[in-house]
Amino acid sequence: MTTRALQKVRVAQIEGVTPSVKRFTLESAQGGRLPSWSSGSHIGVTLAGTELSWRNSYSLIGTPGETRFYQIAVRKEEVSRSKGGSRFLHEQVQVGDTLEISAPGNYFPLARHAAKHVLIAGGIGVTPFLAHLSALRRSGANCELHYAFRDRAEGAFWEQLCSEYGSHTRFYVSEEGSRLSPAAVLAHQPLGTHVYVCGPHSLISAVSGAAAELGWPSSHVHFEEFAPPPVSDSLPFLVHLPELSVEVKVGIRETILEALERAGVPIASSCRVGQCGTCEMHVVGGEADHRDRCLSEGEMHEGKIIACVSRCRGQKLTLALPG
Amino acid sequence: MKSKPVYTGLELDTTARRHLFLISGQLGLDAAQRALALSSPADAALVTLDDPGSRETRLCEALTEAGMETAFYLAGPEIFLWQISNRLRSAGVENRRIRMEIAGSMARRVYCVVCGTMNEGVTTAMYRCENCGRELTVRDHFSRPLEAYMGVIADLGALPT
Repeated sequence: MTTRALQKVRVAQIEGVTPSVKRFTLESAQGGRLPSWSSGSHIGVTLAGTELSWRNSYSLIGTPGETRFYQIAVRKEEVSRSKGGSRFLHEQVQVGDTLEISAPGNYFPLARHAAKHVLIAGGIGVTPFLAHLSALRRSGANCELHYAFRDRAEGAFWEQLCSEYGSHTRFYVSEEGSRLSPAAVLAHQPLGTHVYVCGPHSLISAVSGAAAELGWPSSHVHFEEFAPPPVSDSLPFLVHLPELSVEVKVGIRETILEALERAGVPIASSCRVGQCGTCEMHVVGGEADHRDRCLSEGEMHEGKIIACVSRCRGQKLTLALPG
Repeated sequence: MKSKPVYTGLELDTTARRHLFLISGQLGLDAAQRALALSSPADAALVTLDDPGSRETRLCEALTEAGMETAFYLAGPEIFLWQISNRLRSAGVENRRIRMEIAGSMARRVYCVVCGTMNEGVTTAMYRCENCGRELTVRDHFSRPLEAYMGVIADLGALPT
């Protein structure tokens, strides 16, 4: 894995989409075009606050391949440490500010040979599907979107999606008692269908579970987490890096990756939700508590660990840098 | 030869809920019945595709009834396995859901790399191309899109200068 090129962008526009979701339009700070991208791509945004800084990933929305500007939609989260970056974007970032972003990467592409595409979104997980639907319409592919959100005021983009894609869309508003049933959506889909899920952990688990139960091959189920798995049961521990003589404490609301970044250890990272494998490190001592979705059992056995989500069973983890 | 297909047989795919056997010839039927006797799945169907004339129609009917829960098992001559599996792949079925067993003729379809002719039913290691008349060596190099083995000029000294 290589680190993707970083570049400066200028915030050209900020618009309210719902009371808690804002759309940011970003242009190259040096002028000129930005790198091209395909639907499902995300960028990493570095947010430097006065005390803390964050590296968050956001899906690119809009028309795939748009290089005059990028657009991201950000939901303001109230609580967790890892989501502090979205609050910073909402409260601190102004039009005209400069931000640092990584070039687009895509861990959530469309399957080119699919006979049909079924997109399932939960809440702000709808963002990658805005670009996917645009690409699917351009290619004339058979597709449908199932989008679940809490209430109509907070459901981002549903009116736009309804008017643009009409009969290809179905909305589930939980406050109105309408629930998305993964089994009902997946049953009777034709041969060659691929399903894509983006949303909370619980939705992804429900869809993968229903697909397996219905006899789908796992390679036809694609998902993207927009948040690291919940860490409610986590305890603090120490991370020791003998190579650099560094020892840092990983707090309950923080990840190994964030703790090392705080200590000034540069680790290449990309998705930061345990999916891409960029921030892979090696366990030299201590027992890992794996929480990623990218390593195989064999790789875990070899001592690999994904620093953005995984933790430690016990007091101390001794790690080595990759390569 | 890396491209020479390996046929792993008709062992049941336990992640699927429905099992569709597509067969050709008596030996294909025998192979399917052996596999079914071993595992006796709850939901299985068997479609014979012996007649090349009605094959596409029958296959289409079978595919309309198949869904994401279906795994496919092919048994018959090698040419049949590739014709059907390529057809399944173009319908969006992934390789892991297609299991194959050669049952019947081992005759090869040989593609003459000189003139592009398909020579059917080749059973010898050396073969004279039916179109250009060149003596070909039949290699183990198999092309999945062409559904054929490569036939190359046996005696390079015979190449026209």
